[in-house]
This record gives sequence, C-alpha cells and structure tokens, in this order.
Amino acid sequence: MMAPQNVARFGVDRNVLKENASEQRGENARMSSFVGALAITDLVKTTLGPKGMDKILQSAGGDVQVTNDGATILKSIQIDNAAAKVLIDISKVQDDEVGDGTTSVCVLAGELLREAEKLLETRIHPQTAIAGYRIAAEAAVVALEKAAVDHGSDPEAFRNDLLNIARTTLSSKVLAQARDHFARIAVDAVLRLRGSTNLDHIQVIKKAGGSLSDSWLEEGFILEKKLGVGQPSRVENAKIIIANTAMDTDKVKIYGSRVRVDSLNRVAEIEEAEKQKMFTKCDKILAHGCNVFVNRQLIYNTPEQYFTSKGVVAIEHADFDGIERLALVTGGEIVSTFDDPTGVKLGTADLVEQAMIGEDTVIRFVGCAANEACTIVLRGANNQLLDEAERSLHDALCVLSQTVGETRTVLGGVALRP
Amino acid sequence: MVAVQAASSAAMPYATPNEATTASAMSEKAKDVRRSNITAAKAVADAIRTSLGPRGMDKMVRQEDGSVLITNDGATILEQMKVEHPAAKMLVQLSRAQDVVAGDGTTSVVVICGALLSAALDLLGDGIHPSAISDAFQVALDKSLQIVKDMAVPVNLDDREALIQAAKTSLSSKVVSQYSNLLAPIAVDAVLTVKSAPQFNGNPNANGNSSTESSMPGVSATSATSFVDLKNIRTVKKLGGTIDDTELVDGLILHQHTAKAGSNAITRVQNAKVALIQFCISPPKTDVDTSVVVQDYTAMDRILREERQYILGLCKKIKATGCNVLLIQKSILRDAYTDLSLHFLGKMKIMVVPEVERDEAEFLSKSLGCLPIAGIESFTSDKLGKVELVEQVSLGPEKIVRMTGITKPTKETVSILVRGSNHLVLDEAERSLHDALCVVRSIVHKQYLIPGGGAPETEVSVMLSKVAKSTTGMEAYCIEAYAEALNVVPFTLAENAGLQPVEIVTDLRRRHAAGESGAGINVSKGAVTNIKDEDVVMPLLVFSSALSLATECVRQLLKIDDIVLVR
Repeated sequence: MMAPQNVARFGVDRNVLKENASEQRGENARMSSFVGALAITDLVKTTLGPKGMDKILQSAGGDVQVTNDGATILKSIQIDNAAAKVLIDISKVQDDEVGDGTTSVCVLAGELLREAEKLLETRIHPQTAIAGYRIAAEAAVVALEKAAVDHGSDPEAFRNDLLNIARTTLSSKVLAQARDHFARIAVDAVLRLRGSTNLDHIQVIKKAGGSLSDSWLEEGFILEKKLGVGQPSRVENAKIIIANTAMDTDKVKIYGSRVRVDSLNRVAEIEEAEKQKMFTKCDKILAHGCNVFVNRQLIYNTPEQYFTSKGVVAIEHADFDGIERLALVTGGEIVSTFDDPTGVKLGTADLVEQAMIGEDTVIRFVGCAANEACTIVLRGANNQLLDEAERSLHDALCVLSQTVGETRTVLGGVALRP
Repeated sequence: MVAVQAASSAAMPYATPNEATTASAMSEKAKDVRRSNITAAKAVADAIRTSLGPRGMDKMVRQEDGSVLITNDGATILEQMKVEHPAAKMLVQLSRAQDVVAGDGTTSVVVICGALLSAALDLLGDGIHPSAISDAFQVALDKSLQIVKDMAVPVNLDDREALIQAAKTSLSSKVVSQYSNLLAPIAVDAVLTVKSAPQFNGNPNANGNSSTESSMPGVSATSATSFVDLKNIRTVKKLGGTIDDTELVDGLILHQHTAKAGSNAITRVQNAKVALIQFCISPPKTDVDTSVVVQDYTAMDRILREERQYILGLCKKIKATGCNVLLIQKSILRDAYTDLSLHFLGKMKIMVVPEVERDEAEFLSKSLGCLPIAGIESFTSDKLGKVELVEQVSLGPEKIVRMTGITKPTKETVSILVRGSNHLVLDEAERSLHDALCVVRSIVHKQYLIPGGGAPETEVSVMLSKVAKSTTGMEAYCIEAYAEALNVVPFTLAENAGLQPVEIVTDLRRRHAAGESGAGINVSKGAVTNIKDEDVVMPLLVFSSALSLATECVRQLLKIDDIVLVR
C-alpha cells in the first residue's frame, strides 16, 4: 500500500523515474506535440513554391549554406521536441523515396494537425479523428488517380511531360532562372538511364566560375585527374584496366626485416632486382592488352615512364569514388593482382582524352560501355550556389527517374487541392 | 521544445521560430533578415569602394601573426578580411568567382553588387515583393549585356597595340602603375606566346553561342576559341633591384640554383643538352632495409672503392649521352646526390641543378622538350632538351638558373622574372602582373574591347533608363532602379580622384544620352573626354562577367528570408 504523499497527481510514483526524466500526459502531451509540429511547419512554409524564399543555414564553425530544400533545412536544425522530430523524419523519407516534395509533405502534415486540433476541441475522440482521416486519405488517392494522365506509350508526349515536370520541380529552386536549360539537361540525363533508378550513373561535378547557364551535360564520364607526363593526350578505342595497387615500391610487410650483404655491389644488385620486379609487374599489367591504366594509388616515376615508353596512358590517384564510378561506367573490374590476364574484365571507352574546364584539367571518357553514364558539369558564381544547384538538380533527377517508372502525371499548382 | 539561440550582436538578428509566431511576425522577421543581409553586404562593398580606379587607394591588411600585406586587388583584400556575417561571406566568394573567370574587375564587381543591393533595399521599402525585384533585375541584366555588346569593338589578336592598351588600363589602378609601360608589353607577349590551338574547353557556350537542343559538347570549326592556360606562364619572384628590372625571359627560369661543389662547380654552359632525371646519383639504397656487414677493416676499403666505382659508372653513362646539364628531382627516400657525385660531374663539366620538385616535372618537360628519365638504363640522348645557353645568375644574395634559346618547334611556356625592392611591393607586383595576364587572356577568350573610365556603366545606365520608360508596371520601376545603381562606378571613380562627382557624372550622362558612347572620365585631366581616343580600354569579358555575377549574387540574397543556426 503506497503512502498517499508518494503518489503524484498523475498517478505515477515520482521515485520510479530517473533523475532528469519527465512525463507529460493527456492534454499537455498533445499540446506540446501540436506546438512542436506547427513550429516546424511555420519554419519551412515560406520556402514553398516558385515564389518561395531561401534560408541561410549558418553552422557554429562558420560554414554557410543557402538552401530552399525542405529536407536540407530540417536535417540541420537543432530540435528537442519529439513530434517535430517525427515531422523531420517524414521529410527525410519523402526525400529518400521520391526526392522532391519534402517541404510540401511537412506543410501538409502540419495543416492536418492544425485541423485535427480544432476537431479535438469539439470533444471528438482522437481515434474517431484518425479513422476519419484514413477514409479521407483513401478517397484522396482515388481522386488523384482519376485525375492522372498517362503518356507512357507515346515517347514524344512523354518527353514533353518529363520536361514539364522538371521545369515545375526546378521552378521553386535557385535554378529557376535557367530552368529550361536545366530541365533539358535533367531529362536527357534521366532518359539515358533507360528506366533504371540508379542515379549513381549520373555524376555531378561542380566548378566555381562562370554562371549557371554555362553548365552542361557531358555524354561520358569525367575524372578530375591529369594524365601522366609525356603521355599521349588522346587514346581512341581505349581498353581500360582499373587497379588498386601500390605502384611505388614493393615493401616487405614484415616489420624490421633487413637484408645483410657484404659489399656495396650487392646492394646495387638488390636495387636492380627491385627495379626489375617493378618492370615485371608492369609487363604483367600490359599483358592484359590494355592501353589505359588507372590506379587508385600513386604511380611512381619508374613505372610511369615505363608505361609512357609503351604508349600506355597511366592515371594515378583516382580516389575511391572515382574508381568505383569508373568501374561501373566502363564495365571493368577493379583488380589488385595481375597474374591472370584472361580472367580480368577490362573497361572500354571509345575515347579517352584530356580536357580543360575553367582552369582545371580533367580527363574525359566518352562512349563508355555502360552508355547510361553521363556527367553534369555545374558552373556558378560561388560555392553556396553550386551546392544548392546540385541539391536542386538531384531533386529533379529523382523525380524524373521515379516518373519513368510510374508514368502517370497530374497537374501541379493548386489544381489538386479541392 | 525548439532550441532558442540568443542573438549576440544587434547587427545580426537571428531568431528561431517559437510558439507565438504569427504570420505578421514571420514577415517582420523576414524583413529584418533581409535588411541585415543587405546591410552587411553593403558594408563590405563600402569597405573596398575607395580602391576603385586609377586614383584608388590601397589597403594595408595586418594579419594575426603580425605580417602585413599591402594591396589594391579586391579579391585579395576581401579574402584577408575576416568576415563573419554569411551574406558578407557570399560577397567575398563573388569576388573570387570574378577572379576565376576574368582575373580583373574584382573590386568593381563587389561595388556594383553593393549598389544593386542598395537599390533593392529601397524597392523593398516601397513594398515590392522580392521575387518581382529579382525577375526584373534578370530582365535588366539581359538587356544590359545586349547593350554593352553593341558598344563593343572587335579586336584582332594580332593587334598588339590594342592589347597593350588594355593591359595598361588594368595596371593603372595598381601600385605598379608607373611601370605599366614595362609590364603591359610583358604581359601581352607572355600570353600571346602560350596561346595554344583551339582545344576542347568543355563549354559549348564558350562564344556566347546559344546551346543546341541536346547540348552536345565539342568545339565546332567556326566557334573555336584559342585557349590560354596561365599555368604555362611561370612567374619567379626574387627580392632585389626595382620593378624596372622585371623581364620576360624567352626561355625558362628555375627557382633553384646549381649545387654548391666548391671550385669545380660549372655555372655556365653553352649549347647545352639538358636532362631531367628522377633517380638519384648516390650510393644504391634499396626499399627493403639493407645493411652492409663486413668482417674486417680491409673490407671497408673495398666498400669505399665500390662506392666510388658505382657513382663513377653512373656519371660516365650520363656523360656518354652528351648531356651537360643535369636537373635532379628531389627524392624523399634518399639523397639525390652526394659530394662525391658532384665532384665527378663537375670534373666531367656537367652542370648540376638539384631540388627539382616532382610536380614541376611536367612544366619543365613541356618547356624544354625533354622527357623525365626515371632510371639510368633508360637514359638515352633522345630524351634530352637542347638549349643555347644555361647560366646561373646572381641576383643580390639569391641565385637562379636561366635558360635561354630553347630549341623547340613550338613554344609552350614562358617565364617572367619579377624584381622588387621589398617583399610587399614584390608581392603586389606579382598580383598586378597576374591581373594583367588575366586581362589579356580574357581578350583571347572573347575578342572584344570596350572603353573604360566609367563609359560602359554610364552607357548601360542611360540606355536601360530609356528601355524602362517604354515599359510599364513594377518591372519598369525596378529596371529604372537597376540603371540608377550602375551610376555608382563613375561616381566612385570621380570621388576617388578628388573631382566633383555630381558634376562629372551628370556631364557624362548628358553626353551618353546625346549618343557619345565613348565618353568617359579622364582622371588625369579631371574632366569628361572621349575615353576611346585616349586608349583607355578593357576587355568585354571583364565587364559582362562582373554584371552577370553581381546580379546573380543579388538575386540569391533577395531570395533569403531567414537565417537559421544549425549544428
């Protein structure tokens, strides 16, 4: 039998909960949920639509981001309220599944909650409200499907649809001023994917300088590296071997190993032997019949020169990201050992050449095996603009790739609300 | 509950939403944020306004470690200023972007942006929606670019005089302006030498051609532009002398000097055959740790002899190819050379220049027409570069190696030796020279010139006003404001020169309205003259990119209505 003074007003023994924990019940709990969710909604409401505004996100470290994308804003803010966190989550899910509409989903959820609050004030039980909302949701989906238009079978009209969708998506973002240009780029990029929703095939490169309308779609793959010294700047009908191996020295991995000799000539012989080992390795690589060698790590001077003398182009320091993409795009495997030439799949490309973007040198791979690959090069006035442009383009690409799978479209703007 | 951050400074009224936010409170906050952004950006623009033009002043920037920097270059000043406000940071980025695209006009772009923001603030005060202002500004920009293109004069790259004039104009606002007669031709000749054949520049809109439906990259035969890579122009700074001693070297200058090897050292070679080696002339060292173990001291003698033989062997092989100048690349694993090797090479009359960096190898092989040699067995005479004269030159306490008369079918690189009496002047001279090089490069990319001295800004302003009068509604109002804002440049030029800005600018506008599109402010005469005849010209690219970038930045800032503090 608990003593009366130990039982708190809401029926829980205060001594059961941990030090800083608190509990809210009934009206208070619901109130704090509403308030938290409404705060989130009001925060992102002003970014909605083509005349929507952007926000500056300033981090403690001094980094500045300018963005219109609801998911980005919500991901970054510091929030304590639990209900608000739920809303942030649904925005994230919308981003992952579809890519666009992250602000709309938040605003819609917020408004539904506001209406629900009014209902609850008239003493309707929450379960009743929930059941009512479910029926309304089903009816809404049915109405949407009736209003949907499907041009999946007509490629011309479908392309038009895609362009319009892209334009609509981009109209609320920073790319709005060049939206026709970017709509075309996005649609071309997605159509190349030929139905797959794997957006990894589309690489986005950002280079500061120029303006947004200088961006373009590169029908190939761009690696932000240089070719070796003295190597041909163009290779046609390239057979590419993609490696992840150390090309500087072949160190013995046992720590503290030493070789004891009794004369300097012996040391010279060992040095010679090491060099030969490197040349043998290079020969093994060349035995694969490749004319382009891409390595994730450094290619030191000796092998680089050896490759040059055999007319093979060597590219070094392509980082993990670049290597994986390159393998994906050219259809080659990433190899670390070279003992079995026949077992290795080489990547292919019609042309590999060095090019300049702005002030930087890059390497273009054109006509790759996986023709889905393409690269979008973004130019812009400053880094924030480029980051926001990349986010907007990503949204548009997601939406378009989803549409290719589900070809029905509906009108945008306020046409659907009633 | 939502975390609330207290604002620490009144100039930056950040606020996060709280429960009592109503619609009007939201729009109040939006107005505040916008005003704060614009005020911060204007503060930055005002800070560097006084550096604009030939009579513009320089700024001395003192860094935390006590070192001092004197400069007139907008991008440099802004980078050194420690700005906190996010909108101000965007302006700093703007200046850098202009630097990347055009190289010059980094101060003008920030000044124009500040003026446009001021105009935008007034329009906001009149109750116009920011999106309307933004769209109208875009329309104004498109029209301005058209206007300035109409007044541009095409220039042929063979017209060296015109290019020198443009370079001189760019140098006229810097501290080295009195040496512009020397530096301008250097800049022009350097760029014309390294100008290469049209190659894929990765931009189908390079010449302002409208993109085709499928935006296919590639350079068509008619729209090819020559290309200039400024990395092919090497600038070497050496303290000493005065700026007058700056020279363009038809050849190559190395930062390094010859190895010190006592009296045997060769410092001058004629009819040189130069080799760039990437291996080391020193006792053999393996990658696996080795140690030579001997049983008695007579063996020590043998080892020393073997070492001598080994190095002598290497040097003999080098000599046999006819090489007489050796450039040795630095190695982190072992000594690139030893005293013994220097002694032998000196005896064989081979000049040695060590300490070449790995990333210089490409530049050197491009300049000399030689190929880097990674091992002694691949050392063949076809990898050597031929140079008429290689000599070490003493410049005060420092020495450099000069190579002149490089035998190569096409010249791909040049070197400029910059001298100055102190570090500050030397650094500023290099920056100014870089700006002049960029100016000439801009002309190569877009071969049009426009008059300077505030003429293009006034012309655009006057023409835009005419256009605004023939449109109606909000757009006309905003375009008029845009045109007014552009007056800031001639105004500032006159102000900085100590003239009466109002008189000068009104006179200038009158002349442009009467059709004199070449009228501009001549600061030395203190009046408005036909600036075209005075040869004050600048590349079209500098002005058009300044306008485009400034407008893009303003549109970006107008679209912001909230500042949120995040993790």
